[in-house]
Amino acid sequence: MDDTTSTKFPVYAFVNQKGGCGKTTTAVHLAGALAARGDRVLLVDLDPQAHATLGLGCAPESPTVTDVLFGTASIAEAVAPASGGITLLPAEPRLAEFEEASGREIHPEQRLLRALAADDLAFDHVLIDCPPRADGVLCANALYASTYTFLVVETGAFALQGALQALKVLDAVAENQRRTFDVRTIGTMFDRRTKFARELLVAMHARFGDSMFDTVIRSSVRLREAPAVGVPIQELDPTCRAAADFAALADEVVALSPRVAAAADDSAAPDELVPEPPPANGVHAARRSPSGERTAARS
Amino acid sequence: MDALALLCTLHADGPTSLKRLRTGGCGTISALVERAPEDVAEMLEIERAVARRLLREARILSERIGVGSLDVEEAPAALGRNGARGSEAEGADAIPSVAPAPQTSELDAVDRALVARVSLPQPMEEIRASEPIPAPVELPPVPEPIAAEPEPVAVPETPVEPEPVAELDQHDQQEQHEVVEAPSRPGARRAGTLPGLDEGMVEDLERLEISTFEELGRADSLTLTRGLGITFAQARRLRFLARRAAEEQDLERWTPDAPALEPVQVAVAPPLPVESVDVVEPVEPVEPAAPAAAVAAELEPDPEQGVRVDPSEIAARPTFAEQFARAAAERRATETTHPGAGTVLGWNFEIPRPEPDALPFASISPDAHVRPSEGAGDAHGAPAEAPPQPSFPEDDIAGPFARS
Repeated sequence: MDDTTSTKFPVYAFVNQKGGCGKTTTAVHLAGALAARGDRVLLVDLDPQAHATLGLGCAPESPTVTDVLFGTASIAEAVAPASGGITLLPAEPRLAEFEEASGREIHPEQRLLRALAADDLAFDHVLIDCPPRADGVLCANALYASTYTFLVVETGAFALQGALQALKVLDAVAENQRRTFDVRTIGTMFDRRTKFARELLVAMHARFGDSMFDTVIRSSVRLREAPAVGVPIQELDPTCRAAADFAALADEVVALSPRVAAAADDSAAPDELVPEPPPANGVHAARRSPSGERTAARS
Repeated sequence: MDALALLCTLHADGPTSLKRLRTGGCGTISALVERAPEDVAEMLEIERAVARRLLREARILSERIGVGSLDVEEAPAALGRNGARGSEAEGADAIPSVAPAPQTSELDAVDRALVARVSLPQPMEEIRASEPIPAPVELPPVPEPIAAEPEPVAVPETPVEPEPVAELDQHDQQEQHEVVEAPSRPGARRAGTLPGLDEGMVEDLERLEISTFEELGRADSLTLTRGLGITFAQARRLRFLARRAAEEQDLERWTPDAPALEPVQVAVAPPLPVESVDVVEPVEPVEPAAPAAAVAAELEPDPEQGVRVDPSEIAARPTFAEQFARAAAERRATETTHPGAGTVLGWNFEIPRPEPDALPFASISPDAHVRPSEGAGDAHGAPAEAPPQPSFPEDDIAGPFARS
């Protein structure tokens, strides 16, 4: 694998060290919102719990992302159509075996990037739902393949602590991979009726600053009902406030994407149209814009 | 995250309100603060009171996070006040201090209201000048000093100088005149008379025809929420503050009319001569101060607090045995007996005996109590022999179940 291995589309990894903060929910419904705009969206379920797979009404069948990571299948063979116009790379509980077997592999953290760099894939957005453990090899695969890292922070008691732990892990991974991460923060499960959530959101605004999305996902009963029905929120209730939140978040994410933004702005330079290729280990540091470097993660 | 987006998330409808504000030309929170409530109400399609509340929160938020000419990242002083930005300088490992941040906005609002209350734009003299001064209240004469029991210890040789009663009275009269001259009912029509009560809320209160603290205390919280553009909890707190202010006004209004409180300063008896120290005369016990009774009589209980219960209406709750005996008696009284039909009595129920015509099978007759299976033949289809007919007396139609 050479240093220039990259994907032709933006890849977003949803990470947090803390579980239950809305990573899967955000990934699934943001994928639905992007698909509702008419974009081609691939959702990669990298969580052995396979909640994204189950939440879209799919039963994990072989081949899955486990086979992709083991190299026995390609993504084109493993993907399955899901509800909401989403293309899903499903997961299964056997995915946890990859964590154990990764010790015997060479560069196991590059497997997903190598699979996504195949020429037969044509997507506008790829979203990766990571497992809660941010320092595992599964999350390392997601981080290595990601163009943007979305730090999902719940407006709850341990949210900021989990986010800061995840930032520590990102620091370690960035040092190990000799690259930087463009970290963006998404606030989730916000209930403005509680004073604690309001104060925590102000603290998050002060902590993360401009790296935080303008849209905060508010808590909604519809978001709890959607996995039971097996559809994204845009199909369950397009008029609910959660659908409006994810639609606004999709607008911001699309504005992030360099290719789409460049297509909208013809004045963009041609070399900026393709996402920055992450470098291999020990070769060179990634060339990043100063505004998107670690300042985003530390801001 | 933009401060305007934060405001819309905290106090409006999130991205929908943000989009409308940006479409309407309010790109920043500073631009929003300068807008009139009518414009914001029209822009967001909300009520004017809600728009005013949003603007109020926008001012508080902009002061809190230091949004102005500086960006969020460039405003360490304002953020350092809450401790959030202060941890920024310590590196990414430092957990931002969230604890001091809560309540600052509301406390600031309360503090500002208190400051406004202390520094009223209209001094008290103007209030006195604008309102008619009632005639000074005639104070009752000072009662005669009650002789107190002398202490049988170290009596000074020189008589103690009597208290300057006249001067005290004059001083008290001045204080009472001041109380009387103060406006008895300033009401809720002035901003700052209650914590958090600003000019806009006073206008809304006038629109709701609420002019006094009593009316504000009696107002519906939901009406106040909708009319003033405040939260339900704030409306309830405002009502509580209004009730407390009304009670304070009631006490102040009562004070000058209570001359009986004056004798609380029980005059000390003039010092007795040394020779009369040993003579201890019985002194009648001091009666409880009459003004206290007057106070209790004048202070009417708040009708909203508590329920007055007449003790005579409270009857002892009947025991189970009494209830059971009463139910049994009622049942016996309402029990209908059919004299023609016999009944079988059980422990606490009775089984009515069916009439002869109501028997289910024709083969059963009052005269012949035969089971149907006995006459239906055996399993091989052979006709059964006629069972022996029991013999009962003809007048005994009840058979063996007859009541003895």
